[in-house]
Amino acid sequence: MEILAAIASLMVFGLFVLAVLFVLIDISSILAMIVLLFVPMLVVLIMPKSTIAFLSYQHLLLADGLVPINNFHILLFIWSTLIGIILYTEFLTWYLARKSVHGHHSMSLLGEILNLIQGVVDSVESKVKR
Amino acid sequence: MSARNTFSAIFIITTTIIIMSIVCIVPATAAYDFRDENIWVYQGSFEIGVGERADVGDHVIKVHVIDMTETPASATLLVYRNKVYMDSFFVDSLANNEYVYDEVLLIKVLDIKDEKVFLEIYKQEYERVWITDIEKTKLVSGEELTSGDYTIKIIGFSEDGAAVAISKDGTVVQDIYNTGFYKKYNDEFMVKAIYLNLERGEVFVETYRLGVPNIELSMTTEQDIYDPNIPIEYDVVVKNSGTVPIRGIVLKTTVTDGRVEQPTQECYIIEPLFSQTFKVNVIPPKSPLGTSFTINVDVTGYDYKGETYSNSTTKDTRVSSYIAIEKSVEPDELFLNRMVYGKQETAQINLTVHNMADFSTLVNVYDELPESFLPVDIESLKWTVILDPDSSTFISYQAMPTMTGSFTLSPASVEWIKDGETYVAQYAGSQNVIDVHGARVVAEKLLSRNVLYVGENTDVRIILTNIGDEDAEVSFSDTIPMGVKVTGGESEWSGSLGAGERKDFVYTMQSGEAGDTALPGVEVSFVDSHDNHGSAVSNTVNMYVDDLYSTDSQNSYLEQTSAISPTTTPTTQAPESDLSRWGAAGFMVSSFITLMCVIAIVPITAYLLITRVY
Repeated sequence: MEILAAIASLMVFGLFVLAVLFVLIDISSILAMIVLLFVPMLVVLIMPKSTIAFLSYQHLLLADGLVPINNFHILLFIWSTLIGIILYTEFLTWYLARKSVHGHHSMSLLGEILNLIQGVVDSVESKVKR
Repeated sequence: MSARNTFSAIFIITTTIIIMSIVCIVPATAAYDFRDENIWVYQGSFEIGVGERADVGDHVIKVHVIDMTETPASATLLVYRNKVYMDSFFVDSLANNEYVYDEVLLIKVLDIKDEKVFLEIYKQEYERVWITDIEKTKLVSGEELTSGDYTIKIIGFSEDGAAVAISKDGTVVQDIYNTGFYKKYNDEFMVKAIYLNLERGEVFVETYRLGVPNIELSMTTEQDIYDPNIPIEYDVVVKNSGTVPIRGIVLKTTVTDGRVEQPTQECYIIEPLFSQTFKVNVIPPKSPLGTSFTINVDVTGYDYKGETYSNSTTKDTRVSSYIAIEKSVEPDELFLNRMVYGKQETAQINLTVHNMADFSTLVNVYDELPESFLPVDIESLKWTVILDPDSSTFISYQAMPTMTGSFTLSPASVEWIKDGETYVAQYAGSQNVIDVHGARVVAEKLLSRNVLYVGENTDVRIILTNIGDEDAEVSFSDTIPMGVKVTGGESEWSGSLGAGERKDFVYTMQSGEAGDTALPGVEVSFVDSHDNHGSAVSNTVNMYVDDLYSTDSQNSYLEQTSAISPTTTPTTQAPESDLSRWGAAGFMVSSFITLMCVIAIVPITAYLLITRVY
């Protein structure tokens, strides 16, 4: 039963993650963020008992029972991961667009990221010198 | 009258003389039997200086003066008999090394050195050395008698006597034998004609050979294993199973470990078929785990010719550890529920720890009880004590039985450290067994359903089992909680419950108001055949009465609350919470915003820096 419950939870969260990534890639990151927050919230508001029961289902206990892991934790892990992806996607998109406006030559993504890091470091150094 | 008196006086004197002669002569003749030899019997070796003495029966030899200036060194010896000076003589170690006193004492000087005279003393004695070989045998003319390599043949009879030929290895010697005649051949074989009958032409002969001593040695002890603080006493029995006496017996004892109190013991003579017992005391070695050692006994002695005979034997002996523990229990029969001075009867376990070494030792003493026994007023069966040298320490505690049966107590043990090594000694004596008798009733309470609705019935089952070995008169009356109604069955009972017997009682109960109800354990009292009173209380049972239908109310006898087996919550299902939908949504929104803020810190910072710099 525990294995079946774990597989079911994995499938639900897998579908949710795929849906968010699909929206992020094909539609927009704002919409992906909205989907990320509002889909679980709507489900909680529509089916509170079942959803809370699902989210509070405990999969395992870590550290000799001190750290319980249930579906709430897994949802928070997924949220933090996807929020990070969306925010950095948005930030890099802004940065790359800004570079092209200022007439820089087009570079590879890795080169751009290195440039970005170098720029941040240079600005910190210039602030310190002042 | 005077002539008659004179005759009478002469007769009396003559008779007295004759009687006295017989009295004097008979023992003398009896002493010099033909089987005896007048020989120099070895008396012993001595090493004496000036003023010292060598004591051989009646005679004492003393050294008067030793002259070490001459070559060879010489000395003057004095002979005393019955403490009376008899003679003095000059000796040295070369030409004058032998001196015979009064034809009864032979002194042989072996050496004179270091102001000492080394000498051997012999006494001339008659000793029976010829031992019967073939008993009296009748021989007629032409008949032969063989003894070993000697053959005796009767050649014929004449008026002079019987002509007898004695042959050995082809050498034939012929002699005429009359009644009482005897002759020795090669100083090893003797033939005697006991009786000669010329008329019938027959002679009765007997043969004799020189006897030899034989030393038989045996050693006995009383125990197989000894304590290290008590000397071990061995009885060494030296028996002369030969045919002539053995003299100058010296018993030397050695051990592979430990110490012999008297390594050398002596005895002057052991007659044939007699034995001498020597007590040999050995101080045993001390070892933490016990040890074994071998005692070796060598015996030497001399026959009348000074020839040496010897024998030896060994014996292995086990010595126990110098730390030992003993365990005893009293009494060895107990009754459950019997009260002694207001307390339940207990067994006293006595432990005695011995330190047989000559130094103090710190030891840990361990004991174990069978599972059904409880130690009284002590937390653990471990004691740490310091044992003084060669002393014992006594430990005792009480053990209370909780079950009937025959219980064998495990041996107690003692542990100590010596030179960095840990040693353990266990009680190795007879097993201690405690027999516990009496009645013991245990009670159990079960519910057919423990989750039910208001007004529903449930069956309460009370199981009484007498796990003791005696019958008991048992009674109980179950306590019914407030708001609950008994609708049928037995909630109280009294009667007899045999040893090993079980009885079930069921009554039906109607639930009252909704909520949790704890049904207390049933209290049972009983008395056994020895009028010992006891009591028991069963487990408690919880009942939940609900006012709504629930699919979870499929419970049976299995769900009980008991002190022995508390139930545990499954780990896969978190307890139900009272979180509402808005509460859950609020928690989710706040979590989401928090996570987003935390993750956004880095890109926002980078954004601000870039937009201001470039």
